[in-house]
Amino acid sequence: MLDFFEISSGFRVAFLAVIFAGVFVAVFFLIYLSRMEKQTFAKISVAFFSILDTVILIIYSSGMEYFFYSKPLNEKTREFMNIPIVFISIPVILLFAEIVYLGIRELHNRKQSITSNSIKESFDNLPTGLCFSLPDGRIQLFNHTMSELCYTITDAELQNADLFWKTLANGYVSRNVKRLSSGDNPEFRLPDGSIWLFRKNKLDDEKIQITATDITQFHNLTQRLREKNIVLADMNERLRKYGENADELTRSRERLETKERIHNSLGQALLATRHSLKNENGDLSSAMELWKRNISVLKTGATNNDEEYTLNTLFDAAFSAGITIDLSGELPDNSEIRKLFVIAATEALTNAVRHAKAKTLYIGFSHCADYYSVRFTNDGTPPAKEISEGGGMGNLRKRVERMNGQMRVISKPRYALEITIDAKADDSGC
Amino acid sequence: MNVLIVEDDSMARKLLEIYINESADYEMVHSIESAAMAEFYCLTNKIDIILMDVCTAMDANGLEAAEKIKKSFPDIKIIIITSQPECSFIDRARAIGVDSFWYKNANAEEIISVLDRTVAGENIYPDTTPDLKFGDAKSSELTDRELEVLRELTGGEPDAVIAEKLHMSLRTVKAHIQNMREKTGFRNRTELAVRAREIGLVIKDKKSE
Repeated sequence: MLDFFEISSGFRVAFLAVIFAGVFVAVFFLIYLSRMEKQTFAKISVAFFSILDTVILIIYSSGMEYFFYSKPLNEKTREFMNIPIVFISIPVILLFAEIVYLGIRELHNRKQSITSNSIKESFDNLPTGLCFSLPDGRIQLFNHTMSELCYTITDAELQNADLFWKTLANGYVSRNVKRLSSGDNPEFRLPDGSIWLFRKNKLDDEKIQITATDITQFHNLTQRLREKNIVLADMNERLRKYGENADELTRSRERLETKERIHNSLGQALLATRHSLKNENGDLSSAMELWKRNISVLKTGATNNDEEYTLNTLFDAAFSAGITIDLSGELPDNSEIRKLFVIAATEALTNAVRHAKAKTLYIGFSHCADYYSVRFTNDGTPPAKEISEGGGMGNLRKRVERMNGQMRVISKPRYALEITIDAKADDSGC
Repeated sequence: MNVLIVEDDSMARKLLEIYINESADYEMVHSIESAAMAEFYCLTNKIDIILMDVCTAMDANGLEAAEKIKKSFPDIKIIIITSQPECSFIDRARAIGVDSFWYKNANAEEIISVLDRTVAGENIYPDTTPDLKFGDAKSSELTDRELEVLRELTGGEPDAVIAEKLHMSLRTVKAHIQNMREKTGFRNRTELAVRAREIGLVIKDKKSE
């Protein structure tokens, strides 16, 4: 294996230059590493190889006088220089390798570590606008986003946080900007269509923070949800109305079923009649009864439900029981209110008989531009104690309140029931 | 036996009147449209038995009227007759103490038979409610809780209100609706509610709306 004497003079110089460069770089690297708290292994290993390389450099440099000036060599130096150049190169290579490795690692760490510049850069590029100030409005820190927002909204640079906030809350804003809400949480739609929400918080006695958040997506979703809810409410209302119509549908179906039964029965009547007519001694009376029954049902027609049930029904019921209804005023034209008052009259009549053993029920309807009202009293025994509302009265109260009306039950000195309903109650069902 | 008929449909009422009048054992005392007046007639007449529909004129519920009458006049026999397959009616009638429960499409013989057996002290109830076709499912496939949600749904209530009324979470209400949609194949809650209302599977008491 070649030693230092056997290589050319050019290689000798180059070899020493490389060692010198390695030691030079290693010294600077050690100075850099010494500023770091950790990296102990790196510090020791670089220092070790630097010292080793420095020793090699010193010995070989002193040996160079032999080649240039033919000076005799020290025996120890000669022995050292007789070591094959391959072995001598190992610490040099290791020093270079370690410097390269540590250099790459340091570059990589720099990319990933947070520096003050990277903090400032990311603060500026935050999607949220931020501004920190003193209580008197003097600005301490604000980011690029807030600066842009301030300029877009107020047509002015951000110089005083307090003035900026007053402008946001209620002041003048640029013509191209639309204020969606003001006060403590002002919202603005900017010319680019984005929507921003501003908030002001007191961090401590010395620091005020103003934040701006892009709520475009949230706002649009809320808007869509609101529109959906309106549609849903409309659908629910239609469903409720449909339910009312479905009652009529059910009644129609019931009537159809009744008619089918009658028609079947008519078929039987027809057969019975034919049989009786064929038979000279046949009795037509049973067939006639069947005919009469079916025809009387069919003649009944399709009158039913609420329209059939009026105050007259109540009068008839009362009359059949020997009770007089003393009526004053007129029922309202509004069908829903009229229905409510008839239901109330039914309840009042039942209660007059049940609790007061009354012989006369007094019903007084009154009407003015703003409201309809009805008052029920009777000539029966006054209540012995305060009236507590049971199921019937409770249901009646629910109905009245659903129509935004008022119901009053008076126990003393005599029983009275008063109901008042706003005259603007919707005829279609309030 | 004095009979009171409570039925809002005039044709069905007429038919019941004929059945009673043709019967030797029963006498029709009154025939009225609304259950709201039933108690009044019990107070002012000697009534032995009432034939009463559930849904009657002026939104009066026959079951509610039956409950009140049973409290004041426990000896009066009450037979509820309905054309609605609403499953909760039977359970409620039993809970109230209604003597018998039958469907309106019965013929004269059946109605008189139910009257006779009820007067004799029997309680006549159908074994099951009619199993209706509800979309791709049968009504019997729906759970009691699903039917409760469905009943509120037909009243046009938003899910949040249904949850509050039935003391369940909004998520549970939505889950019940989703389950019913999966069972029936209906596309949305509206279709579910409309179809349920059409076939009379559930009927929401108007007073509770």
